Amino acid sequence: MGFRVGVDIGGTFTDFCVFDESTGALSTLKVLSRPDKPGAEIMTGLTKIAEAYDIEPSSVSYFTHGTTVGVNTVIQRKGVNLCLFTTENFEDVLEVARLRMPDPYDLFSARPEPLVTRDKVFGIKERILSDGSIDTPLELESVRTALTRVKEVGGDAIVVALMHAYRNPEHERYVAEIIRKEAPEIKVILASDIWPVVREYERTITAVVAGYVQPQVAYYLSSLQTVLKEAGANVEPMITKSNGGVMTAERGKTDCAQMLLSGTASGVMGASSIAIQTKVPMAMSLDIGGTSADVAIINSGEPQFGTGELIGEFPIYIPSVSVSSIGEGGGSIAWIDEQGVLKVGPESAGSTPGPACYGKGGVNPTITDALVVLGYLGKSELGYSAVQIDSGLAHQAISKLSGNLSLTAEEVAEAIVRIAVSGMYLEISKLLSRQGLDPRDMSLIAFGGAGPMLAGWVASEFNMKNIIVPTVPGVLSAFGGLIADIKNDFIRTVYLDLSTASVDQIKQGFGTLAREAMSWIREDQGFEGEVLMVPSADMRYRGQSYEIDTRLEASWIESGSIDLMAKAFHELHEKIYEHSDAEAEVQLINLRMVISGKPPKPNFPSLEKPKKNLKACEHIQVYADRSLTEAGVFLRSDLGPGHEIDGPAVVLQQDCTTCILQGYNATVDEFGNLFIQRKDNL
Amino acid sequence: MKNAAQISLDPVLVEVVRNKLEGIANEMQSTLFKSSFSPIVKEGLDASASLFTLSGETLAQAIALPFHLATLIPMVRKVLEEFPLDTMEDGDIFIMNDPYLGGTHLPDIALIMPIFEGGVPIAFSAAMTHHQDVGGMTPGSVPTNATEIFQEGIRIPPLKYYGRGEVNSTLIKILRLNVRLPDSFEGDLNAQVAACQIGRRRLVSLAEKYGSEKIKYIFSELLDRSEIMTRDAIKGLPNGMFSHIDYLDNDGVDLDVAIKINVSVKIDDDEIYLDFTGTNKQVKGPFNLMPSGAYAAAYFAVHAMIDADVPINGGCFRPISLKLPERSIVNPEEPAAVNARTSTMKRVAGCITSALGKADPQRAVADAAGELLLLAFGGEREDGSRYVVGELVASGSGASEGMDGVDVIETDGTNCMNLPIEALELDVPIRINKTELRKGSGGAGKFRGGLGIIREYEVLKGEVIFTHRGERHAYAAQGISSGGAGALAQSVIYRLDGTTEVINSKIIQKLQPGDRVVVETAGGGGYGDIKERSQQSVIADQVNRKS
Repeated sequence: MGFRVGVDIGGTFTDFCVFDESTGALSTLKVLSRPDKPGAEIMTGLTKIAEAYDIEPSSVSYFTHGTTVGVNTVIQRKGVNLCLFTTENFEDVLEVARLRMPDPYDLFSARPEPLVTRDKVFGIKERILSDGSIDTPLELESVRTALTRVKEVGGDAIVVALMHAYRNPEHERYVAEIIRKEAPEIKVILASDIWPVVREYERTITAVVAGYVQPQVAYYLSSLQTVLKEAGANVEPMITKSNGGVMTAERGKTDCAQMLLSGTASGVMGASSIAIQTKVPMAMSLDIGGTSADVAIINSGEPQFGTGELIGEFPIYIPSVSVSSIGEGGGSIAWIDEQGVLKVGPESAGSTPGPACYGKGGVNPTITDALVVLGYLGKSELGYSAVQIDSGLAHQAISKLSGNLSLTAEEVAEAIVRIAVSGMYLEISKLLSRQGLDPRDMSLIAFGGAGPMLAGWVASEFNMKNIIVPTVPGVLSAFGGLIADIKNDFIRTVYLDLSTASVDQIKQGFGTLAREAMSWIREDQGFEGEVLMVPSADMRYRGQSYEIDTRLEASWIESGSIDLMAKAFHELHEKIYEHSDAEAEVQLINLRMVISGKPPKPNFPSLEKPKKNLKACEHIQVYADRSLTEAGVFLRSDLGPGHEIDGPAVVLQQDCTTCILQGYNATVDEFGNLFIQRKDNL
Repeated sequence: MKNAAQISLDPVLVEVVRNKLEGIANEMQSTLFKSSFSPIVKEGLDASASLFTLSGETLAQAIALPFHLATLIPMVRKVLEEFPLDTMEDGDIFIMNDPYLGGTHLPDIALIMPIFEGGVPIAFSAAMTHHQDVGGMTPGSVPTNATEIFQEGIRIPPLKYYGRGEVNSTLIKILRLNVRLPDSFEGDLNAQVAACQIGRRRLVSLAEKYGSEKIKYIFSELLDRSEIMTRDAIKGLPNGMFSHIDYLDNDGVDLDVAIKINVSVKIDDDEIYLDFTGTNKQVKGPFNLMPSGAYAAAYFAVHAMIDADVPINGGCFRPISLKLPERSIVNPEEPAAVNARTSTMKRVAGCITSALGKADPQRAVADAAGELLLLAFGGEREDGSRYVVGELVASGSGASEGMDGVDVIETDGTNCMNLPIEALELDVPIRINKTELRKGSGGAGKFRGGLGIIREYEVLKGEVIFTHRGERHAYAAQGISSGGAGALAQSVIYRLDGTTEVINSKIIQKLQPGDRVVVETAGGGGYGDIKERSQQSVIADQVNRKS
C-alpha cells in the first residue's frame, strides 16, 4: 500500500492532495507557488508532506500533476522562435484568421500579434485537393529554400500546416522527413499530427500554439521527472489534460496541445466525481480563487466539452472541458464610479498585496475584506498559516467607501457582496441561457479558496436547489487529477453523406481510429487495464455550416445502421435547437473516438456516524440583512454523517472557510460532503 | 453627478437590477439563436432581443451586431401609436416589418410584447429576426436589382400577432402564403415569441420581488444614468461643426453614378446633432437606408467614439439627434427599394466616425475601407444537387495615432466570419487558388492603413451564377493628418479563353469551368505624414511583406 499524490500549481498557491491507500484518508496541503523556480514548490510540498503526515516520497505510488506552464508561455510570449510552412499562396492563414473583431464597439480593437510573424511563414509549392488527391506534387526545391530561410531567421522549430492535409498527410510527412534529414537540430510539428481536422485556420492555430509552447513544456516536464526522482519518488508523473484525463509526462512533452488547460479541467473533474458520488443529476461547479471564478456545467456527472477554448489570446480546437471564467474573485476590488455607484472588479488585489485584511500592504477594499467586516471571516487562518486575517485593516479599507455612500461599514460590506454576486449572476446567466438550463434544477458544487465562502449568495441569487461543499474544497483541482482517467481523443475528417453508400467508409474510418486509440493507451501509456472507447461523429444537415458532435453506439457502426445514426442526430438537433427534420439529408464531417482507461482509483467508503453531537466551538456575531445575528463556528473535522448546522454559521477547515447564510441549513452526507439548502425548501 | 439625497433608491439595488436586466436580454437572445431556423441568424448573428420602457426607450438589449442597436425603437413607437398603451392587454404580441412605418428592410420582422404585472403594464419585450425569406422577386428576399419595395417581399404593418394569448390565425395564413419557406418562417416567428415570453416571465418575477412601481423607477434611473454619462463624455469634445464626405461606388443599377454621403456633426456642449444635408438623393437600386438604420449607425458611431464603458440603453441616445433630408438615400420615400442597405449603413457609420475624429484628434481614425465584399456562387454539383454559397470578404481598417490599421477585419457595425477555404472546397466545385494580404494596399502614413486581401476563385465544374457586391472600387478610404488613401478595391474575371472583364463594383455574371475571379479588397486610410513613420515600422513592413 502506498500513497497517491495530486498536485495543482496555481498563481498563488500550489495545492497538494494526498490519498492514503491503506486507510482511504485524504490529506491536504498548500504551499506558496514559485513561478521563479518551477518545480521548487513540489520539492517543498513533498518535504512538508513527509513532515506533517509521515509519508516518505518512496511510498508515493501514483503522482498526478496539473500545470499552467503552457498557458503562461503563450501569455508571456516566452515560446520558441517558431516558423510556419504553409501551402504556397496561403501563407497568411494566421493573419487573416476569421475576420471577426474581438470587440465590435471598440474603434481601436485589434488582433493579437501572431505567434509567428509573416517573415517567418514560408510557402511550400504543393497542393492537395479536398478529396485528398494531389493536384500539385510537392516541390522539393521549395522545401529546401524555405529551410534555408528558417536558418536565416534563426528558427528553432517549424510547424507544417498544408491544405487538406487532414485528409492526406503525405506531403506534410515528406516535408518533415526532409527537415529531419537536412536540419535535425530543428524541431518539426505537423498540424495533421496535432489535430487532423478540416478548416485551415483552426487546424493551423492549434498546431502553432502547440509548437510555440513545446520546448518550455518539455523542459518543465523533464525537471518534474528529475525532481521526483531526486526526492526518491520512483513514479512516472501523470499530467492532467484539457479533456479532463491524464497522460504520462513523457507523452506530454510532445502532446503539449493536449495539456494547455490542465489545471481548470481537473477542478471540474474533481467536481464531477462529487456529482457522481452524491448522485446529483445537474450541477454547476463554481471554483472561486483570488482573481477569477470558473464555472462549468456537469450533467449526470459528465462535464461538457467544447472546442475553441482560448489560450491567452488564441483559440485551440482540441476537445477541452468547457469552463467559463468570470473576472471576479475573493481579491476583486470595490470602488465608486463617477456617478457615485458602487462597483466591484474587474481589478483584483491578486496575491500581492492581496486583500487589505492580509496585512501585506493592500489598502483597497476587496470582497474578502467585506466578508471580514460582515463577521464571517477572521476567525481562522487562511492558507495553512500563510496568511493572518487582520479585521482592523479590513474595517479601515471598507470604511473608506462608507463616507461616500453614506452607509455604515457593515452596510457597505453587504452591498459589495450583493453587487459582486449580481455581476456573477450576469455572467453565469449568459452561460446558462446559451444552453437553455434552469438553475433551479441544479446543485452548486463550490470549491476553490473562496468558492464555499461566496456560494451561499450565488445560489440564493439563482434560487438553486442546494450547495455541495466537498470535503477538500480548497484543493479539489489536485484531487481531480487523482481520480482522472487516462484518456485521449482521436479525430478524422471524412466528409460523407450519411447514406448506405458510405457505410464502408464509416466502418473503415472508425476502425482506423480504434486502432490508433488502442495503440496509444497500450503501447504509449503502458496501460493494461480495461478500456472504454466512445465513438461519435460531427454531423449536420446539408447546408448548415456547424456540426453537432453526436454520440454513436459501437453496434450501430458494426451493423452499418445508418438509420440509428441519423436518428441520434435528429434527436440531438431537436434537443439543442428545438427542431429537427427527419427528411433532410445529413452529412457526416468528422469521426471521433475517445478512449479512456481507469487507473486504480481511490475508493471512498461511507464514513462512520459520529458518536458525539455536534457543538459549535465558538459563537460570533455576523451582519445579515441589516442586523447582527449570532452564528455558530464549527470545525469541519468535527463534522460527521448526519450532523446538521443551522445558518447563519461558519465552518472552518484548513483549506477554506464555508459560510452558511441565515435561512439556510446544512447537513453532512455519508461521505462527509456538506449539503446546504434553504430551510423553507426542506 | 447626482448626490445621494436626490436618489431615494438604494443605489446597490439599481446596479443589481441593471445586471439582472442585461441577463434577461441575454437569455432572450439565446432563446432566439437557439431555436431559429434561419442560417442568417445562426451564422451571421442577425437577430436581437431587447427590453423597452413603456415610453419606448431601450432598457436593455443583447446584440451581437452593433447595427441592431436602435433599429427596434421606431417600430416600438409605431406600435404604441397604433395601439395606445391603455388598449393593450396581457398576452398581446404585435408584429411588423414595413420599413416605411419604422422597420429596416423586409426580412427583419419584429415582435413586440407588452409585459403586465398585477394587471399593470411595466415594460415591453421585443425580438427581431432576419428571416430567410419573406417573398418577393428572388429567393432570400434581398434582390440586388430591385427598384421598388414591392419586389422585396411582403410588407407587414403593425398588427396583433397574438391577442390575449390567442394567435391570429388569419394573419398566419396570409403570411404563410406569401413566403417561400412557410414552415421555417413560422418556426422563426415561434422562436421570437419564445424569446418575448422569456423576457416577460423574468421581468414579472423581478417586479414581484421588488414591486412594479419601484422597478419602473429604477428603469428611469438607469436611463438617466447612461444619459448623464454620455453627456459628460460629449462635453469632453470641443464645440463646433465637423463634416465628412465619402462615397458609395454605385447603386447596382446605374453603375457609373457614385453615391455621396455628407454628414455635418455639430457638437453643442453635451449634445450631438448630425445633419445629412448634401447627401445623395434616394437611388434606384436597393441601397436606400431607412431612418431607423441611420439612427443605428449614428448611435453606434457616437458610442464607439466616446467611451465604450457607458451601459448602453435609451439614455445614451437622448443627446443625439439627426437631420435626415427627405427623399435622400438616408430617408427615402416610398416605394424605394431598401434591401441592400448594409453597405450604406457601414458607410454612414464610417462617415460619422471620421467627422467625430476631427473633433477629437486623440481618437481620430482614418477612413476604414469599410468594404464587406459579398460574393455568391450558385450552380450545380456533379450529382446534380444545386448549391448557393455566400462569402464575405473584409478589407483594411483605418490607422490612428499610435496604431496601424488592422489588416482584413470587420469594421463599422457588422461582425461576420469568413468561410474556411477547406470547407468551401469540400462543399462545392470551386477552388481557391490564393488568399494573401494585399501588399502595399494600406494608406501610407506615420501609421499605415490596414491591408486588403487578394483571393482567387476558380470554377471547376458546371455553369455558375456569380454575384459580386463590392465597395471602394471608385472611392478610396481617405487618410487623415496627411496620411495617404488606401488602395482601391479591384476585381477581375479571367476567362478560360484568355479574355478578362473588370468588375465595376457590382455585377451578376455567369462563369464557366476554368474561369477565375480575382478579388482584391481595399486598404484602410493612413494616419500622419509618411516621413514620420518610424524606421522600425518601415523595416517591419518590409520584412513582413506588407509594404
